[in-house]
Amino acid sequence: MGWQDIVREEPGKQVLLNGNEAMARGALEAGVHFVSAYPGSPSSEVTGVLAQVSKNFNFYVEWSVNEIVALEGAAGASFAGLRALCTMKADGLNVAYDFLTSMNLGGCRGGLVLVVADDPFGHSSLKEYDSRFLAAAAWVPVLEPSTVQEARDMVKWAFALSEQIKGPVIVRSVTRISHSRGIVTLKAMKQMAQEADFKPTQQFHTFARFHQEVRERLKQVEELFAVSPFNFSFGPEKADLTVFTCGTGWLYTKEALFSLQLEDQIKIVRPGTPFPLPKQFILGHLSGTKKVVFIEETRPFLEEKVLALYALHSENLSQIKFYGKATGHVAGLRGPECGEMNTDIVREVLARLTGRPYHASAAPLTKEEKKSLQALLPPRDYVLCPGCPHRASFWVVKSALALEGNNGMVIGDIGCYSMGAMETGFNLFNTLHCMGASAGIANGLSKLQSYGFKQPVVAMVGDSTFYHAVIPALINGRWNKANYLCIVLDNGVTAMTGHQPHPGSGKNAVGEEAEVISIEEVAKSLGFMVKVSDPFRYTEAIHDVLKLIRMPGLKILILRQPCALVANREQKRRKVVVRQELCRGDACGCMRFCTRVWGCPANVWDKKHEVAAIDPAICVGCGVCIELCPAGAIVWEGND
Amino acid sequence: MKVSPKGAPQLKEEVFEPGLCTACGGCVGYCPYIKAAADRVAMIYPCNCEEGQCYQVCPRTLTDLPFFRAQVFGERALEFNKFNQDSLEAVLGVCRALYFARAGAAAGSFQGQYGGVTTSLMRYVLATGKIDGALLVGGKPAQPRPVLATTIQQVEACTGSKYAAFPTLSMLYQPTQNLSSLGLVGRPCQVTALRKMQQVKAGAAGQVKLAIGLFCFWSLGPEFIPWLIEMGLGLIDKMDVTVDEVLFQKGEEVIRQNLAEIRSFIKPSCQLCYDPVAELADLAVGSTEYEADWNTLIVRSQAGENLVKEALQQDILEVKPYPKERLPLLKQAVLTKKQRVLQALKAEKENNRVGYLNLSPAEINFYLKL
Amino acid sequence: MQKETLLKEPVNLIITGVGGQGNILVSEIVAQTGCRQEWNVVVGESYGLSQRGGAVSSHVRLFQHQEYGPIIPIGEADVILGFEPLEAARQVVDYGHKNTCLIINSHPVYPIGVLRGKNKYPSLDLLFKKLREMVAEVLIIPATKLASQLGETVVQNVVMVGALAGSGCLPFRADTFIEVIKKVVPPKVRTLNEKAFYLGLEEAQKIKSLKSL
Ligand SMILES: Cc1cc2nc3c(=O)[nH]c(=O)nc-3n(C[C@H](O)[C@H](O)[C@H](O)COP(=O)(O)OP(=O)(O)OC[C@H]3O[C@@H](n4cnc5c(N)ncnc54)[C@H](O)[C@@H]3O)c2cc1C
Ligand code: SF4
Ligand code: SF4
Repeated sequence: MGWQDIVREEPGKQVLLNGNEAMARGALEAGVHFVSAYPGSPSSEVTGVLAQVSKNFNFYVEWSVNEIVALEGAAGASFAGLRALCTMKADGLNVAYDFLTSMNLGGCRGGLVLVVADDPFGHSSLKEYDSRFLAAAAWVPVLEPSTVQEARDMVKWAFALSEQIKGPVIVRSVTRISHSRGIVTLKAMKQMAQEADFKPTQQFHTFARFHQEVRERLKQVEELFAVSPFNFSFGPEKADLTVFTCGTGWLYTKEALFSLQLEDQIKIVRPGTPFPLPKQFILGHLSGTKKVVFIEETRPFLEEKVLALYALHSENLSQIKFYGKATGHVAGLRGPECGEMNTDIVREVLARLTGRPYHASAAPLTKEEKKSLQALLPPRDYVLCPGCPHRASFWVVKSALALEGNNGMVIGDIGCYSMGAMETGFNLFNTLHCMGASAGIANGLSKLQSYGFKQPVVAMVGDSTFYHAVIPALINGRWNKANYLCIVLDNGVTAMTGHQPHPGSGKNAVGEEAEVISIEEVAKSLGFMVKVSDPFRYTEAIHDVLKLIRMPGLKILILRQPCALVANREQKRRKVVVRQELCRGDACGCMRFCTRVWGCPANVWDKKHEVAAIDPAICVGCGVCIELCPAGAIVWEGND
Repeated sequence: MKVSPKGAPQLKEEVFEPGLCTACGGCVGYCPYIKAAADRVAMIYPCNCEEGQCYQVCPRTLTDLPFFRAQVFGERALEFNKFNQDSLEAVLGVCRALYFARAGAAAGSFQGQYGGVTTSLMRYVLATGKIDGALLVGGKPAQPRPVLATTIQQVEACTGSKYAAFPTLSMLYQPTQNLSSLGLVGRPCQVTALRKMQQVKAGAAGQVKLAIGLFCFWSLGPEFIPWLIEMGLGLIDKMDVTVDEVLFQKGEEVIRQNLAEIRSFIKPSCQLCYDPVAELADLAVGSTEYEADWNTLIVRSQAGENLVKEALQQDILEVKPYPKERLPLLKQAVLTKKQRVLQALKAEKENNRVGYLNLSPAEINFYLKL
Repeated sequence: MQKETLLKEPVNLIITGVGGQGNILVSEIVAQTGCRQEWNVVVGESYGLSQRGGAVSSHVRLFQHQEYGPIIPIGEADVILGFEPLEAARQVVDYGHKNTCLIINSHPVYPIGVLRGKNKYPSLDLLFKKLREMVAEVLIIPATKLASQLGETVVQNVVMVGALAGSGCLPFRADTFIEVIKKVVPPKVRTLNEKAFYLGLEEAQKIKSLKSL
């Protein structure tokens, strides 16, 4: 698929790429030397695909343990004069932020580009927010593509820009760029000189006195942006109503104008460089207009910047009325500043402002029709995969805490196992926040004994999360005599974001053998009491949890089983079947445990016979439900 | 029998939440929602079953004692139902005979808690094929474990009292490999649960042919063993309780502590236990609190009587009359306990109910008006 | 290759199903086929936690003149290709219009709430009847069953691609599809996928010809 297309040498060829692949191609066309990232949706495929093709081009790619380490590595390469790319999801920018704000002061040398992918609506994130605000607070320039092709163009240009200004540049993507496919016309790929050198006299420091320099740098950027082809307008030269739009908003606005047949009445202004704002470009388009609508993805960033600019220059400008998210006029179903932008939102606000009625070309369904259809449709909630070891781990912890009997708390963390906060995870988690938060929160809770807090505390972290952010919290806990059980759910990979390897996997980003940094060795070397158990051995695992909870201090239990999706690929399935004559089904003594409570998608209900069954197409043959069925009705095939 | 159409939600509300679970194990292991780990029992997920076996078998849900006495003792129960001041049975329950007893010369060599009556009899019924498995508690006092003994050696390995309440009845839900008759040694609450289980045909309860009940004025909750370990007593071989002391024995060494040390571990459910002498058992065995290597033995059922007779003939058992001067002490201990419990449980006069117990008006009057 | 003209601009196609049903592969096949027929294409995918059994959908938009964004506006899907009846119907609620052409795999994948007995899965007869009352064309394809004839239920998605080709809803050519399928699936399973495609194609043509009788 995509990866073959992104290495094509044929300039001029049109290929279909998704936004992440296109940005990877942009990096290749810019002759990138060094790529580092911690995976996170929707950004993961940029580095993922570059890792796949790095051998063909001989550049360096790594999955790093976390975003700040990734960015620091990339900065090292930049200091040595190389072109470096660092990709992350919005949440990752927070992790990298301390270094970013520091490094930006001292500046860098080789082109250093950050691709930050926001996730408006939170399709695959716990929060949606707008990283342009963080970029601006750090004084780092931002480019914001509107199409897949432009994503390639901007990444490519960002390297040159970074070198010119001697500072990092952020390309802000969103889910609808990263995970959209569009046609990209390939350009030539560059092989940049690969000599890395760091002269003994060179210095990159962070000192407050450099703020002045960064301010100057931003002025220089603004001048470059003033003439950038990424800032353009569309439609009539003069219009009473102007739409200012960034990113995905550009195509939504265009479509809205076409369908409302307003192309010749409304002007679209599309700055592709929202920070620093290309002031002259914006002012030019503010003059002469009467109404301005802002269309942008998540928060009113452009809107606030433009409003401030207008305030400063109002004496030279006519009276303008502004409509946007800050003003509350531009809003989707979740209200302004929440959720994703789309054509319908733009069309609604433009129709309202112009009084132009919108006639859908097609014959719409009536409200009643939709309602009566909707009424038939049950929701589809997320579920842990068939055979997922997390389901077993959750059940173990749920059981153990019930048996422990003192209202134990479960402090959750980030990964597939965040579903411990949902029904599929038996609503186990009492808290869920960000990477590594569980161990830190557990530290705090476990220090409250003198205030009468006696409940046992269990922190649940994933393996990738352990390396990413948990280790410092554990050290803190041990140092300060915290008292809780930290359970590491070790399934061998960073499963949530697409099974990238991590330091425990024995492989690196490009598939080479790598040192296994064993979780238990790390934990033991820090002096922790460590135990490894198998979550599929329900009874034993419960005993281990109970035993460890009782022990004083901070203890670590590793519940280890490979991710079902990986195990499934590697192992031959054994078949699990239901001896239906033994199944108790809806009667006391079971009450449909397997289908109603356990919730593995492979445990299905045979309506005709009113008994349980296994869907052989879905079952991965983990066999966990065999031990859990109270009637001994679930068995390995051949064992009946 | 009075059955109430109740299920797991009520079991949770009436038994688990107020801490009244005795850890008998009668509800553990049949369904996937009530689980045990060592001596802990908990409902881990609401099953929402409105009419459940768990509720019916629990010794702390409505228990119709007159009904079960009749079930176990037939005619004999009616006789006992005449409550009056002079009657020994009014206090001790159906009592065909009362002895001091101990293992006989032919019983084999093992060290019982006191007289070794329990082990001796279980060993005998197993050896003679009267049962082919016995539900016991093995391991040392700090590491109790459930044992389904099928050999004499296994029975002998289970001697000694483990004061932690242990949910051994759950074993009745495990597939009992070709075992047709079973024996049980249990606390009084477990014997009650067994009778309730037999009533609703739960698990293999019907296969239990001999129930030896231990005297029991209290047992200890799940915090006890961690405390033992913390005190450095995790490896003791034997534990004994006297009127005011608790003795921990390791090898030759004996550590004595004031009984108050372990009082806080007594299960709350024991404070509401009406049955310190296993009224529904075939045989009830306790200490004598008088002669250390003898037991008190109450012969209750016909089956129990037959077994004791046979055991005496075979030199498996040795008995002597219960000392007259000790009798008032035993009676008083049981009486006080029963009175205290009935006072604590509130009586509902109209329907003969006292807390979870269903008793005859005569019985209620006998205890509450004395 | 000669260029076909699109009937309207843009043509909006939704491919929907449940995580793990191969939604993305199909959107890739359809989009690549569009490219080969020299149309412009944009695809928007929602596969948030798709591997975790949630609903997945891809919006594919084909156009020749003007560029479009990756999300189809409410009520503007021309074709809905559903690998699962419930998810197909869900897309109709939001994106269907009276002339929408629906192609549905009749094999249900029960949501967890249904498995747990909390919700009810609608009767398929009722659901299909309702859909037929609402939109112009509903083709019910037993794609999972057809795929199981080939021994691999997973290729139900390519059976559905065949059905899309056979439905005649869009001016796609079967041979272009086959070229693309050959390119995007691994060599090992090429023949299997080609067979799956033709099974779907024939099934859809059969249904169409029965209807026109
Ligand atoms: C928790 C508890 C409290 C007791 N309280 C009293 C009391 O207050 N007054 C009194 O006179 N006697 C009491 N007893 C009984 C006494 O301790 C002896 O068990 C009894 O006298 C039998 O003695 P033995 O010599 O026959 O024992 P052994 O021949 O040594 O046999 C003991 C038998 O008891 C079984 N057993 C041990 N622990 C348990 C347990 N926790 N639950 C069920 N079965 C068990 C063993 O499997 C073994 O079969 C209590 C026993 C227990 C377990
Ligand atoms: S858990 Fe066992 S007895 Fe219960 S419904 Fe499933 S197969 Fe039947
Ligand atoms: S064996 Fe049981 S738990 Fe595992 S996939 Fe099959 S049904 Fe699910």
